[in-house]
Parts: sequence; structure tokens; C-alpha cells
Amino acid sequence: MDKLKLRTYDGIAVTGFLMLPALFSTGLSKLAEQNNTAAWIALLAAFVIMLCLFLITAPLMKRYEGKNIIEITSLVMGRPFGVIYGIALATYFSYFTGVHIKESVEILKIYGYNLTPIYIIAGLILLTAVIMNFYGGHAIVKSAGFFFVIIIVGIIFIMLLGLNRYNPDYLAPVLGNGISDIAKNSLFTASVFDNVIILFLFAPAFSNTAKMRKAGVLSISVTAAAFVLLYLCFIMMFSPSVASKMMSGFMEMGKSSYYNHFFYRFESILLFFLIFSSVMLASIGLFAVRESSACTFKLKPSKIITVICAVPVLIATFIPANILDLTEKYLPVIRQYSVFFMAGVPLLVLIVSTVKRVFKYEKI
Amino acid sequence: MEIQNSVMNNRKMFEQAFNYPTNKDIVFRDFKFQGKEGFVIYIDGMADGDKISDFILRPLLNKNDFSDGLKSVLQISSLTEETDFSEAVSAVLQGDCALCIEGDIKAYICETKGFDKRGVEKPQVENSIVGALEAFTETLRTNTTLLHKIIKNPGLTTEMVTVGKLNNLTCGVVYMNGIVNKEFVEEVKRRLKGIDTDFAQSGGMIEQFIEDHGSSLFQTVTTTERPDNAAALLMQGRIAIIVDGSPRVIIAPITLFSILKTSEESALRAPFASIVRLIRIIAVFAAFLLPALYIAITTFHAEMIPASLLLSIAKSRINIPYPAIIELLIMEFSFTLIREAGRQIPGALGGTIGIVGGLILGEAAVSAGFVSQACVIIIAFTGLGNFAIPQYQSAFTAQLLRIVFIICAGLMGFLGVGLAFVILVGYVNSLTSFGIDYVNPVFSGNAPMFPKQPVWEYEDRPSELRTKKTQSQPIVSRTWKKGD
Repeated sequence: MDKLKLRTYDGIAVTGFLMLPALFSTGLSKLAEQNNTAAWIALLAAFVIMLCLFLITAPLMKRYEGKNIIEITSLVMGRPFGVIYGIALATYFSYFTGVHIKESVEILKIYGYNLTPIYIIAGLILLTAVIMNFYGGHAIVKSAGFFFVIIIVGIIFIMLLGLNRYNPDYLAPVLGNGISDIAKNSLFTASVFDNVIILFLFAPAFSNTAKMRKAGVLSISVTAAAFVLLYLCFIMMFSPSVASKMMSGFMEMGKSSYYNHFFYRFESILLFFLIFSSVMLASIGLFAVRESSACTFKLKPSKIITVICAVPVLIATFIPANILDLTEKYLPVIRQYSVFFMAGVPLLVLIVSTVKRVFKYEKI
Repeated sequence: MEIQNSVMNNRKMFEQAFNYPTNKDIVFRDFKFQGKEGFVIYIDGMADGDKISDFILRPLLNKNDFSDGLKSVLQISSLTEETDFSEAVSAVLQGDCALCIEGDIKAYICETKGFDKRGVEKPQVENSIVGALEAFTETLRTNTTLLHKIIKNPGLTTEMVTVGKLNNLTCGVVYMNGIVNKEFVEEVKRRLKGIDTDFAQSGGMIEQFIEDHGSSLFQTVTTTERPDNAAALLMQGRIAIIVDGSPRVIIAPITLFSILKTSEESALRAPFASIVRLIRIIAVFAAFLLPALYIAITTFHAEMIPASLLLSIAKSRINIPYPAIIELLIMEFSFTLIREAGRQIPGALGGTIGIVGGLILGEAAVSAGFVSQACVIIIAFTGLGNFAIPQYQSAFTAQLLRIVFIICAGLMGFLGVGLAFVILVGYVNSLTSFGIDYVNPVFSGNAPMFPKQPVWEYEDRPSELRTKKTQSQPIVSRTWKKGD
């Protein structure tokens, strides 16, 4: 595996891919549901909160130039705490990646693949992420840089597409459910931008911490701008009450735009933005899991570690939704079909050993 | 092994090395002058016999005064002294002759190459309308001469490396001293010297031996048959490897986009060159993705197509007994077959095969209900896109990946194409050419592929080459403008 090197733009692209994909799935409609017309103000407030948090914590990385956040935690708080933090970080990124894959798969199913089983789509996305990790961190970062341009173009494209359908009246009341509600939700909305902290994990890959800090500030700013502008376009097109009921605001904006008879069905093309963003998120997320695990347990990142790290991501992708989901899909696997795996493999080995007439183990 | 002072011993060593007298290609010419025994050895056909008799043997046998040494007697342009026997053998193998004289513990190597060679002709593959019309030949020296004709600069340097333990193939490593990063020169030489094989025949073989990723789908070194193209790349700070016997010169290190550029573009005005490049980019896109997008849209995302067009496609497919993916794969195979048949058959007949195959077979296949008209149009457009890719090997890359994309599209529509595209981007981004990134990172500061900048705006050499001289011209290169 290669040694990772990051430029400022690479940092923006990598963190951007951990934050922006929410725009293509349920992010916009959830914002409309929680904050009504004032979501964009809450987003701006969240942006300021996260920017402050990032700028307050960034000097920590300068004090320990060349170390990542897990190593610094070990140095400052002791090795046990460092290990716990490393495991927690790896678990968080596993969960984060898995849940986002699940969300993207559900959106893909709704907008084009309603007959394809979830596990096939999710499996393919995760497989692609694993292959990307096999190519190494450098390839992922450069690919993120390439696809980030496409994603930004996609966001601008969809905003321009609905120009003739925007109704500024839907922005009122500007303060939504009131200032107290905005203040309450802003802190939680800051979680939209919190993945910028991944830069602390990749800090040694920057030539200096100033570049890392610049990448962090710019990535939060770009993401916040994209969120605020797209959200404003979204509610100007649908009104907050209708918008909050939708699955993917981005796809619906494409679906509702009509120009002429020839260009009238955009949503299938928009699937590409969803696919690119979800796969890049999965790749970067898996890379973060691998890096944090390898750093925590002082392992050399390798292909086998990548495969092992993909397992918790896969598990997170298929977390049962409720007890009904658990009893109908998951428990039958354990209670009815697991015998084929548990007893089947030893039986197969027995048959092969009988056929090959290997009955004795000879010690060399 | 060293050359000895006994001429008999030296002759025996040469006889043994060249399997003489069984080997009838070897000529020994014994002579005696000033009471000393001597001989000349050369390979018949490789060396110029007239030159040897007129300018080596005649002066030796006729002149009496040798006080100034042999160098003042032999009327030959290049004369070197060699004490290493294997080097002397190597020189004879290159077409020179070796002269040994009793009492001298060295052999005199005289430049007498005289083998038949093809003259400089027009390029066969990289045609140009506004560019030069000279192409490299199979002779190393002719090729270096062609480069010297274009780059009249003492910095143009050629170093020779011999490859192949048994066939001693000579490779010339050519670079611009003062511009090139010497690390790359050393790396190229290290890789060439590190080839441990009995037989290395062509530039294609050498390419595979020295590439970072020899079995990669993408070529990480490029080749050119045009001296003007090679000269332009040398001036950028790249290295040319001229393989004796190969009419294509290897260029390294390269990036993906340098493959898609042609030398002719520098001779065109920026707007025209930009249009050419834009068309090429679209052609590459079509060559890679068009059939896959056709499959994905018609099979999975039919809602994208206007109703009238959808009906037209459906109507053309009504009698086709198999799915669109099979139809496309059959057409893809047929197209490749026609192209290969056309390539193998010499001369004008090859072109005829293409026309016959393309028109008659295509028309007959549609009439017979084997394939639809839409499929023929898609494959024809894709084929044209494939031909627009400047490099022959890159066209293969496009073809192979096209099939992968078709299969992905047939299985999962846009999702399959999207995932395959991400993997492709990741793969290409993981490649290197002599240690440098095969694809420049986004916003790397290098000249973009599109639009092409005017010639006076090419101030910097490609940053990834880390050249000694980073600027190729000042910011104001049209100094005459200052006075206006």
C-alpha cells in the first residue's frame, strides 16, 4: 500500500464526499421536516458552530505535527484510551458507511431498481469500495478529486434546471418555527458537517497542518454553501410541507423539471450522481475504517485488512429495521439456513478428503 | 576476456565466438604489413566490403610510413581501440569490422556499417495534413539523425544500452540534457539494463519489459513513428528509447492525456485544435461507453427516451430473437473480425474487405433479422470512435473495456455502468509511469486537454516531469508585441 499524500483540494474532496451525499438521498427532506423554512438558517448556524469547533481543535494537530488523532490521543491520554478511541472511530465509520450505503440503496430502489434485491445493490457498492481500497489511498483520493467536480456540476445543474419553477413565496416565514427552534436544532444539524474531523485522521498526509486547516475550512464552507443553496431551491420548488414528505429531494427536483418534449425525464441520468457519491463515500469510509484500525492495532494496511474492515460495514448495511424485519429476514437465516453453512462446509471437506484419500495428517 | 597480443590467439577466439568456418557469414581477411601478421573480421552484408578494402586494407598494404600510428593511416570516419574481447565481438555484430595486429593487445574497431536499410518514408499510422511527412525507420542511426535534424542542440544526447543476452539488441536512450530530470534517465537505463532475456526483438517487447504495469490494460509508455512528435516530447523533458530494428520510438514517462494528444495539434490554431480535441474526447467517450449506455437505456431506463424514438427502436428490434446485449456483443465481434481481416490482407484489398464487411454484411444481417438497425448504427459510431483514438494499443483498451461496460450495463443498467466507471477511474488513478502519476490530479496546474491553449501560452513544462528547466518560454513569448 502506498503512502498517502494530500493537497488542499484533495482534502476538500475527501471530506466533501463524506458530507455531500446526504444531499442526493434523504438529507434535504429531513431538513425540511425538522426545521421547516428556517432550515437554511439552521444550516448556516450549524456551519458556524462546526467551523468554530474545527478551528478550536485544529491547533491540537499543529502541536503534534506528523501524528494523526489516534496517535495523539494515545500520547496525551495513554495507550488504552487511544486504543478505545481508535476502535470507536473505526466503529463509527463502519456504521456511518453502512448506513449511508443502505440509504443510497433504498433511494436507488425507489428511482430505478425496484425489482432488484437490496443485498445485490448494497453488495455491489461495497464490492466496488473494496476494489477501490485495493487500488490504495492515493487512487481513492485522486478519484475523489475527479468525482467531486462531477458532483458539484450535478448540484449546480439541478439548481439551474428548476429555475422556471421556483416560487420565493415558499421561503416565508423566514424564521420557520421560531428562533428558539432554530437554536435548538442548529447544534444537532452541525453533525451534517462533523465528518470534516476525518482530516485529523489523515493529518500526516498533508505537507503541513496549515494546509489541513485550510482544507477543513474550505470543505465545510463548500458543503454548507451546497446544502443551503440546494435546500433553498428545494423548498422554493415544492414548499416545505410537500418537501418534507419526499424521499430524495435531489431526484424529485430532477423529476419535476420539464423543459421540452425531448428533455423531459432526467431522473435516470441523476442516478449517476447518486451512484458516484455513494460509492465514493463507501470507498472513503472503508478507507477510514482501515486506517483507524491499522493505526490502533499498529498493523500495516493491506488488502486482507481491507476485506476484514469491510465486514462490519456490511453488517451495518444490513442492520434490521425493526423486530418485524428481524424476525422475517434475519432470524430465519440463523434458525433455518445456518445449518447449510455450519455443517455444510465440514461435510464438504470430509467428502473431498475421502475422494482425495487424504486420511492422515503427516507432520513435517 | 581481454584481447591478447598474439594475433593467432585472437583469431582463434573470434573463430570460436562466431562458429567459424561453419558460419559462412563471417569474413576473415588476413594480411601482413611491416612483417607483422594481422587480420580484419566482419560480417558479410552487415559491413560495407568496399569501404573495408578501399579505406582500411589498401592504405595498410600500400603505405610504408606508420610512424604516426594506425589512426593516421586508416581513412575511416570512426576508429576506436577496444581491449575487451566481448565488446569487439559486439561491434562486429553491429556491422563494424575489427582489426587485430600481432603485438597489439587491442582491437581496432572501424565504423563500416553497410547493411541495406529502408529509406525515410511517410508515416503509416500517424498521418498528418499540416505536419511533417517523415517517419522513423528500422535503423537506429537514421532515427537519431532524424531527431538531430529537428533539435539542433548540443544537449540532445543518446546513450546506448544493449538488451538481450544472445541477440544484443541496441537501444538508444535519447534525452535533452539540461532539461530532462536525470532520475528518469537513470531509471530508464536501469530498467533496460535489468532486462534478463536471451532474445529481445522489437520495441513492443522492450515496452512490456520496462513498463511499471506490464500487463495493465492501459499503456504506461507511448510510441510514435513521427520524429517531430518525438522531438516535441523530448523538449518537454521526456525520454525517447529508440530500439534498433523498430520503426516506432518509445516515449516515457507519459500521462493518460498525453496519449490523446497528437503532434499535428501544435501546428493548428488553438480554436481548430480545440475542436479536434473535443471531437476526440467525444470519440473516446463513444468508444468506451456508447454501446453500454444504449443497452442501459433501452433495457433499464426506457423512460428517458422520447416515445417516438422508443417506438422506433422497439419496432426495429421486434424480429430479433435475443436480448440487446447479445445483439451488441455479436456486432462487436463481427466488427472486430472485419477490422482484423482488413488489417491482415495487404494493400487496397484490406480496405475493400472493410467496405464489403461493413456495408454488405451489415445490410444482410439487418435484413435477415439478426441485428437491428439501431444496433448497427451504435456499433458503427463506436467503431469510428475507436479509430479516432491516436494510439493503436489504446484502441484495444477501449475495445476490451467497452465489452466490460456492455456486460455491466446489461446486468445492472446505469448502476452497473456507474460502478464499472468508478472502478475504472480508481484503476487508472492507481497507475504510474516510471513512478509518476499516470493521470494528473484535478487542478494540477498543467495545460488542460481542452480547450487547447495557443502556442504562446505554453510557458511551463509538465510539472510531473520535474524538469531541470521548468519554463519552455517566458510569459511574454511574442516579444514583438511589446513594441505595439
